[in-house]
This record gives sequence, structure tokens and C-alpha cells, in this order.
Amino acid sequence: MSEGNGRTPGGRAVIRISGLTKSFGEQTVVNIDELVLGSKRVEGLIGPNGAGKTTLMRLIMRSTKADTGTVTLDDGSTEVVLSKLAPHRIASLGVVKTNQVTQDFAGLTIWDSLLLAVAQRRDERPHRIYRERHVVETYGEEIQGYLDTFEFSEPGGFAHSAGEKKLLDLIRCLLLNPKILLLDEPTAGLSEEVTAQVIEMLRTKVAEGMSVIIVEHDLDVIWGFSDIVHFMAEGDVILEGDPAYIRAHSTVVEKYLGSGHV
Amino acid sequence: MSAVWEYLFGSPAFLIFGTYTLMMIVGLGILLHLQLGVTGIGNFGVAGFWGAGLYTFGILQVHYDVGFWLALLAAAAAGGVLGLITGWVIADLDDDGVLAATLAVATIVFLAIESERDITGGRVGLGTIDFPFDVGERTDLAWLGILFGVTGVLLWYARRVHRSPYGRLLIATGTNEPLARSLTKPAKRTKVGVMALTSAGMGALGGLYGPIVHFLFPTQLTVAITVSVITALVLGGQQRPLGAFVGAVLTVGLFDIVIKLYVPLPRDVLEHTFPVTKQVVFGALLIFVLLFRPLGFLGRMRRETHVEGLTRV
Amino acid sequence: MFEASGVWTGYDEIDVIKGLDFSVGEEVFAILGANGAGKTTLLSAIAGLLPLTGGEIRFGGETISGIPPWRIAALGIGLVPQERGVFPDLTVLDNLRVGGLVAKQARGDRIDEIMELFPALAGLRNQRAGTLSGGETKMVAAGRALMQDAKLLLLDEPTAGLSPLYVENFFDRIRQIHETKQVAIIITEQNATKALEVADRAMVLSLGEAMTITDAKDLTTDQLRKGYKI
Ligand SMILES: Nc1ncnc2c1ncn2[C@@H]1O[C@H](COP(=O)(O)OP(=O)(O)O)[C@@H](O)[C@H]1O
Ligand SMILES: Nc1ncnc2c1ncn2[C@@H]1O[C@H](COP(=O)(O)OP(=O)(O)O)[C@@H](O)[C@H]1O
Ligand SMILES: [Mg+2]
Ligand SMILES: [Mg+2]
Repeated sequence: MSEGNGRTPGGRAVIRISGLTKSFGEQTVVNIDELVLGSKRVEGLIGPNGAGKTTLMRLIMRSTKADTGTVTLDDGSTEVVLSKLAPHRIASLGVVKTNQVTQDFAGLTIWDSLLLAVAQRRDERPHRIYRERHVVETYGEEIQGYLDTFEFSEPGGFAHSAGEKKLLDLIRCLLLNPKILLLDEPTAGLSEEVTAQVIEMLRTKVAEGMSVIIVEHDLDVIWGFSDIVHFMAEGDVILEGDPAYIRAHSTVVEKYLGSGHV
Repeated sequence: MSAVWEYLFGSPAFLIFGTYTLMMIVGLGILLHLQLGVTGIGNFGVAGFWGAGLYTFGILQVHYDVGFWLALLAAAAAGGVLGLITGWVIADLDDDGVLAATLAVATIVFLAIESERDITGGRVGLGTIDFPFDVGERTDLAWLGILFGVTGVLLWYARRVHRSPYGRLLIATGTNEPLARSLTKPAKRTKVGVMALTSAGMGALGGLYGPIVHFLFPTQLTVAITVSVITALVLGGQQRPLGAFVGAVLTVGLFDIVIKLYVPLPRDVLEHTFPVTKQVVFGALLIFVLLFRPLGFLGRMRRETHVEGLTRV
Repeated sequence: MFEASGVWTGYDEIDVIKGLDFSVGEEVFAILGANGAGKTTLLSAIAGLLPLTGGEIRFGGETISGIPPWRIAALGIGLVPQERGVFPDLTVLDNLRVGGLVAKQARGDRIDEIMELFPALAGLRNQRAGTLSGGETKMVAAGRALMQDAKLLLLDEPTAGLSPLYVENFFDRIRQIHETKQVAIIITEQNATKALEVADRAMVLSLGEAMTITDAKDLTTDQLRKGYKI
């Protein structure tokens, strides 16, 4: 419930992308003419390693700056040009992303890290030095809820294992109550049990109105969870369709799935 | 009894001056702790922010007869504005860039003061500045009491910051800025804000130093003071509010107060060998600490349960 | 060739691995277990990155616990870490070459082999490894270990983040490397099914203790599940 991202009832917010390009040196990594993300509740984004999936998500979040093109957030009534905003403003608008390469705050315990995510700007002013109790009392229960769902070996301590850091990254994002959550390989390296828990949790959130765009190589997750799948290769989304269609498509089989998954 | 008294306070002026210095180092160290230890901003220009305050205070008092409180406020404002600008400049630089830029700020302040002779007096000096009150012979002692109070307030504030959402925001911004941004935190504004706030504090400390020395010289704000503050903080523990205090006692306290005043060293040793030895020992101590206890004597930051009575594990 | 007896290890005051006994011959050995079971900790300890607090590890008849990691690597144990397994400031090619430093076979051939295994890397030879995508990073880390002419490869979740096609190829290749080069392989995986397909034997690790050590084909779902519950 960060400032300004209370969900608007009704219309589902979508991300419109047009003319978006990004090159590193000679290599064009993303080159998308037109793309709309988020019109379905859960959208899968798959493609070979290096297709540009992470870069596309980073361009949306503006953690990487695009060479050309615009990204707009359209929630039915208003349109905001995301590609002009600072990253923290984009997150405040309810577009939030988890990280493929685990990210953590070295100095913060698991609890602290989660409190950071929920704390509002007005509580984080330099003169508000007695505000901690308020923050813990307001959001403690919500955080405890997540900590009860997912097991951490020592919630008061630091997250050490790769799995814990991955979960922490996800929970931090969920605590922001996003309108659109971009997930970059959220279950890579998680056990089947924990993966199932994560998906379960996401389903609940989706039922409450959140949209999900998910990059994953775990195909059980993609086929089982997505309403629609975008297939990306060499910087562009070249196919879109329901899971069954994508799954059977020869291009996808050849470039991505391999014969083992037909 | 009186012999002991004589031994301890035989030279009260020296003792008091040594303690002033100690308090300055501790105060600046606590502010640097908020910059470096908490937010990860390696400010190598402490002397500049402090000096901006010191000279603002001095100029207003000497040339314009401005009253104490207003001059002190202006000193804080000078430090704060300088911090604001510096913060804005360094917000997007990497660690090395921050070191270089802050050192440059201090150098600019130093050169400006040295060259603007009309107003700062240059090397001739600027004075005199007096205590804002007079309680007789021990006015200097009363001033020391005030410095103790100010340092105490700074320490209290730093400790509160550690337990507040603000402190958490600073730590997060310092350790992983892109991640903090992605969680709706305005990293740049946060860094500029903390620089402005703490530099204002440094400027105010500079103002409070004016009456102590009565006469201001540019040599008072060389890199030496920055080095003392950094040494004290790193030695004591840069991530802990008390770090600067522990470090300053071990360095300035031990050398400039205890040894200088109470160890009967021959005069030429005291004048020539001692200062050099002191620097060597500081340097060696710093290397030793960085090698074997990089976070200083007090060690790593502790983020304990902040709110009593709540079931946080 | 590899033997761990009564191995204890962990961090500071915390014991993570609690008295493990197992041995690995010329085989592919899978370590399975829930997140936080201690797989990464165990592999780090074998590679010498964490000190043992008890027990002993022997390799080729020599005690290797207590000796520095670079000597363990020189003895022929190669680790592919779960995360951050590349030198970010070196190019892809240089990362592979670093692995080749301890190898005997001509490096050029080996690099070609790696490129064949991971065609995606071919176009990225001169890219800084720190700028690679997550999957590409994994490929370089694995490639570097393969360059090493190791006698024992430790693979810590090598396929997490690889696309299905690559996962397939990678597992095929693991068998192949093992068979043609007589390399023993210890692999941890979340994809238990896949891991059990290539492994000869498997250990189910739970909270730092071995629940089961058995032939991969004999491992029952029940035994496996035990590793993930509690
Ligand atoms: N900073 C960079 N410099 C050069 N190449 C980059 C950089 N960042 C990403 N790339 C390249 O862009 C391509 C797409 O990367 P990415 O979006 O991470 O792929 P994925 O679809 O696997 O998430 C990769 O080939 C990667 O090597
Ligand atoms: N650097 C560390 N310091 C303290 N505890 C750690 C550290 N790394 C991992 N741990 C703890 O050790 C346990 C095992 O972690 P790990 O070996 O990474 O598990 P796995 O690889 O099986 O998922 C976890 O409970 C984790 O919290
Ligand atoms: Mg990616
Ligand atoms: Mg692991």
C-alpha cells in the first residue's frame, strides 16, 4: 500500500509498449514495435536465454534506459508515460518487478527488509525518529502472514541461502500491493514444494486483482499458470497465444523447448 | 589531595582545550557515521563542511556583529547548503568519485577562505570571536559543558535513527540503491537529504568551534581534521553510533590528552618526536584495524528488536 | 575416489551440515533436498571455501579438508557455484581461459567444445561476463569448470535459469562428459526428476543430514518427499 498505488476498481491496467529499442554496442537486444502487456490476468513471457526478456522488463521499470520508444501505463481512465519517470515513481504507480539475479540489502535482516518495503514515505522522514512502533504495528501482521506462509530459518536474522533471498525479493514486491507484478524467473532454484506455494500465493493475489507477467523456464509453471503466453526471441515478441497454441508451435519447439517437451 | 588535584588539573587550559578537540572529533564522527557507516557515503571533505560553518560564523560575528544564535544558524545553513549541493553532485557517482568530489569540496572551501582575504582575513586570521556569555573565570568550562551536551544530542539522534524507519531507508539506500528504488524509495533525494542534514550539523559544530579558538586561520581546516575524524570513526566502528566516541577516546583522548598532559615527556620529544610518532601510530593502528577488524572495535551494525512488547523474533 | 566422513560445517556458530558420511566413486552423484537443506554449504566446504568443524574429506587418497581452495582446484576438483560464478570484469573468453589454466588439453579445442555445448555463447565471446543475461552467466560458469580438466566436478544447481532446450542438452552432456572423460560429478538440482535420470546414485539431504543414500533408480517418491518435508 505504498503511496499512490491503491488499485483502481474496474479496468485492468495495461502496459503499452511502442517502438521500444535497446542496443548494447552492435547488438540489438530489444526491438519491439507494438506490445501490450497485462490485458490478461496472468501472462507468460518465454524465450531462449538471451532473448531479451530481462532487458525488456528492466526497460519497463527504467532500471535500464531505452534507446528509443515509449512505455505507458494505462489503467482505463488515465495514461501515464512510464518511460519519462524515475524508477521509484514507476514502482509507486504499482508496476513492480522481482529480480532474476537475487538482490538483497546487505545490512538489513529479513524483517527489516520487509518493513522497508511497506514503510510509507511519511514515516521515513529524518525527524520521525519515534515512528518504528507505528510502522511495525500497522504492517507487522501482514508481514507475519507472509513469514508464516513461507518458511525462513531465522526471520529475525539475515537471509542466507539463495532460496531465501529469492522468496524475500518476491515478498517485498507483494507487500507493495502492485497493480502489475513483473516476475523474472521467480521460482528458479526453488524446490517443487516452495514453487507450488509461490504459485498458490500468486493465484490469491491475482484473484484479488493483481496482474502478473511472468518469465520462467519451469514450463509446468508457465503452462499451468498463464492465461496467455508471449514468445520472445532475438529481442522481439514473435508469437502470442494461449499456452496450448504456443506449446505446439514449431518455432517454439525448435528455438526453445527442444524435442523433449513436445 | 591537592597534589593529585594539581597533577590532574594543573594545566586546566590544556585539558579543556584537549577535550574541546575530542568533542569536535566525536561530534563530527557521529555525523560522518550517518553518512559513511549508515548511508555508505564516503565523505572525505569533513573539514570543508565544518570550515564553511566556522568561517560563516566568524565572518558574521566579526564583520557584521551578528548575534550568536543567528550566526550559529547561518553556520548550520552554510554547511547544509554546501551539503545539499555536494549531495546532489555525488548522488550518481561511484565510491571513488564520491571520495574525490568531497575532497574537492573541502579543498575549494579551503582555497576560497585563504584567497578571499578581504572578508576572511586569509592567513592573517579572522578575529576575535568570543564566547556568547561570560560566567567569569570558568566560562571555557561552561562552553565545554555545552559541547558535551551537543555531542550527547547528536549521539542520541544517531541512535534513534538506527531504530527508526528513516535509518532503515538510509541503510537500504546505501547498500543497494537500485533495489531501494525499485521498492518506491527515492534514492537520490534520500542521499541529498542526509548529506544536507548532516553537513548542516557539521557546519553548526564549526560555528561552536569559533569561540574556542577566538581567531580563525585557514590552517585550522586542512585535511588533518578530516583524517582525525575518519581515523576515530573507522577505529571505533563506522557502523555504530558510539564508534566515533570510542575511536576518538583511543586516538585523540590517549595522545592529545593523556600522554601530552600526564606523561612527563622531555620538551623536545614532546615537540618534535611526539607528533610524528602519533601520526605513525594512528596510521599503523588504522591498517591493523582494517586488516583484522574492518568494521572497527565495536564491529558490525546491530539491528535489534526496535519496538518493545512486539513479538518480533 | 571421494570420501566424506563425519563432516560438520556451517557459518560462525551455526552448524548447517551435521555429520555427513558419504562417498562418491567414478559416477554421477545427485544431492537433492529442499531449499536451505545445506547443499550449497556442503559443496562450498568440499571446494575448500568453508572450513570443516568436524570430520574429514578425502580425495584420491589424500586428505583435502583444511587445505586452501586453489590447491583443491589444482588437485582436480572444479566447482560451479550456484550464483556469481563468473569474473564479471573478464570477457566470456577470458573466463573460459581462466578455467583452462589448470587444464592440460589444448585450450582452443576446449573452447570450441564449450561453444558447441552452448551455441548462445558463440556470439558473446568478447562480452564482459558481468553484462550477460542470467542464463548466459550460468553457461559461462559451467563452461569454465568444464575447461578445467577436473576429476571431480561440483555442480550447484547448474540448470536453474537455463531454457528447456539447454537444460536438455546440458544433462545429455553431463552423462557424456562423465563417460568419455571419466569425470566424477556431484550435482545438486531442484529438478529432481531430471537429476535422477542422469545420476547413478543420489543422496537426499534434509537439514544437513543424509536421509537416504541409494541408487538413483531405486529412490522412491516417498524417500524423496521426506527430504522436502519437516
Ligand atoms: N550491459 C550489457 N552489455 C552488453 N550486452 C548485454 C548487456 N545486458 C544484456 N546484454 C545482452 O542482452 C541479451 C539479452 O539479455 P537478457 O535480457 O538478460 O536475456 P534473457 O531473455 O535471458 O533475460 C543477452 O545476450 C545479453 O548478453
Ligand atoms: N553465509 C551464511 N551465513 C549463515 N548462514 C548461512 C549462510 N549461507 C547459508 N546459510 C544457512 O545455511 C543453511 C543452508 O543453506 P544452503 O547451503 O545455501 O542451502 P541449499 O543450497 O540447500 O538451498 C540455510 O539455513 C541458510 O540460511
Ligand atoms: Mg533473464
Ligand atoms: Mg543452494
